Amino acid sequence: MLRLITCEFMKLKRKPLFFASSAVSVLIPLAYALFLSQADNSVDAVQGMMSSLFQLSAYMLLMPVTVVLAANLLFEEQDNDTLKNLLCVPVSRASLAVAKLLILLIFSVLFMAVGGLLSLVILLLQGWEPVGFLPLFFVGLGEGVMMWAGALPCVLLVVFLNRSYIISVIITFFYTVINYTLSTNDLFLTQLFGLNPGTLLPGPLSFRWIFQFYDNSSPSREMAALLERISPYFVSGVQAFGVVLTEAVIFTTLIAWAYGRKRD
Amino acid sequence: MRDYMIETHNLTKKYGEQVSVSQVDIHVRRGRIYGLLGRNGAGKTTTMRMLLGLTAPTSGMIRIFGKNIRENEKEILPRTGSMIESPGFYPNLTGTENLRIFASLRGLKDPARIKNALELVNLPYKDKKRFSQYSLGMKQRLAIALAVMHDPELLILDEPTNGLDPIGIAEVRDFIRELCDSRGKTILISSHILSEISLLADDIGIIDHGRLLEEESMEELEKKNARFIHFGVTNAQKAGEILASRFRCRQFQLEDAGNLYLYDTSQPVEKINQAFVEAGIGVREAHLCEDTLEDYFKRITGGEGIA
Repeated sequence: MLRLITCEFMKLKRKPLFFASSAVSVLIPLAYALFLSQADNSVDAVQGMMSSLFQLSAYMLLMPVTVVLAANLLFEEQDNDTLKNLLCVPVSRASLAVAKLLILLIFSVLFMAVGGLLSLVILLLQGWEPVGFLPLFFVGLGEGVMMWAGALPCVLLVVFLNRSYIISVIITFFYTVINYTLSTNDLFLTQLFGLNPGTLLPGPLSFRWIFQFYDNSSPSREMAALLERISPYFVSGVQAFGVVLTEAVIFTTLIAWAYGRKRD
Repeated sequence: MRDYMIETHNLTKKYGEQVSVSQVDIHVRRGRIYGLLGRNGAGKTTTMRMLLGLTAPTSGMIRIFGKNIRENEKEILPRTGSMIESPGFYPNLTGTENLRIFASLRGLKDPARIKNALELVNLPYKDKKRFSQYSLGMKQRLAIALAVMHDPELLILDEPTNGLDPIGIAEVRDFIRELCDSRGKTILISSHILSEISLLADDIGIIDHGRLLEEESMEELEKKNARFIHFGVTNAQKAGEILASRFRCRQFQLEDAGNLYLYDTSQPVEKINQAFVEAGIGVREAHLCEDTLEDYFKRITGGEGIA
């Protein structure tokens, strides 16, 4: 598997898609810093920047970009007619799919890392102290893992439909919107941990995990009201990543199966 | 029991109602070049894809190195090099970088393997040209380099000279011959170009409309068809009847109403000629001819020649 992953990286040479897609993560923190930031102190500045990364960048950019990148990686062999050469090594279709999904995981974490580091640079340039930045940076990496796992059901549909472009784009669009909408909806944020959309969907689940890491020592009135409503429903790291890992295993297996189906 | 590197029995592939390959029994002997000859669409590529496990057969058995391919892929495929249909590589990578990926997957650590493979096919090592910028001939050469890079015992090459210029074709032909003669490799090649097969193959299989019509060594084929006596006559039908009745010979073919080919060249030509004349058949010409592979192919397939 390590050899397969190494080869997947070798295939990315002179293909800017992977790295350019990671660089897209700078857009929202940059826009936030330029147009939206209203911080009075370093703590608020750090939280504002990082929350734009967590709640806008991750949901609105990372999720769809991950699905597009997944389609590109998974159908690359078909497009280049290299699958027959790989199968004659032999490399199984299923192990190839798993290797590509692991590349996608690396991308997802890299996306959040780049966004986090750029946020730090902007904060420092603006003269703020990076108070509480480091824990939030690692929370961002964790969210990268969650978004990756959360994108897998969409990736499965794309593989299943054998890359019908238009349908893939439509599915990705609706999936992104649904996740974002649900992550801001009290109905799903206040569901008990269990088999429900508030736990199983990446949007609400990651919100319920991330929000407890913000500095809520002196919240505004709105923030205090929000905290009162949702704080009983925060999930621990073990709970969050337990769900994420289970979903990742299930959907990776299904994707490997769908990719591995022989077509003749 | 002959030592077969590849052996198939009743190999069949159907796509719905359409039969692509039908009950093909191929026997590829160790250390020889087997030429699979057939027109475009005859079933050559489909057969080769089944041998490599790329396409699942509808029925039949395939044994490579004496083992069933379906259950022993991990043992068989590393000992096999192949080139199927058009060359497939990553367009953003150079030839060397492409081979490096497959060398890594095959566990080949020595970079000299890649260098040697590229030198064998006259492609530059560590060149900056990307695969997307390669000509068809270069792409084909790279595919051959990939097939031989890991020094396999068995090579399965689907139309290896496709897209090459005449010099390239001769080079690849010599190269394939050398692989067999000097390095003892067993090679299965397919082609629709008769001259290629006749110059290269030790054994030949003729496939047409999915069926293997003939399988024999080139020596046997040449013996069978080297010569025949061409009689130009006024009534070929009657001439054939005389050959059958008076000379007890049925090894002839009526080409048309005025031409008869006698394949048994041991028959006394002068007595045959006399018998024809006595029966009122005019004899325009009688001479010894050599059958070509194309004539043989036309006869076997009943077709109009090669596509």
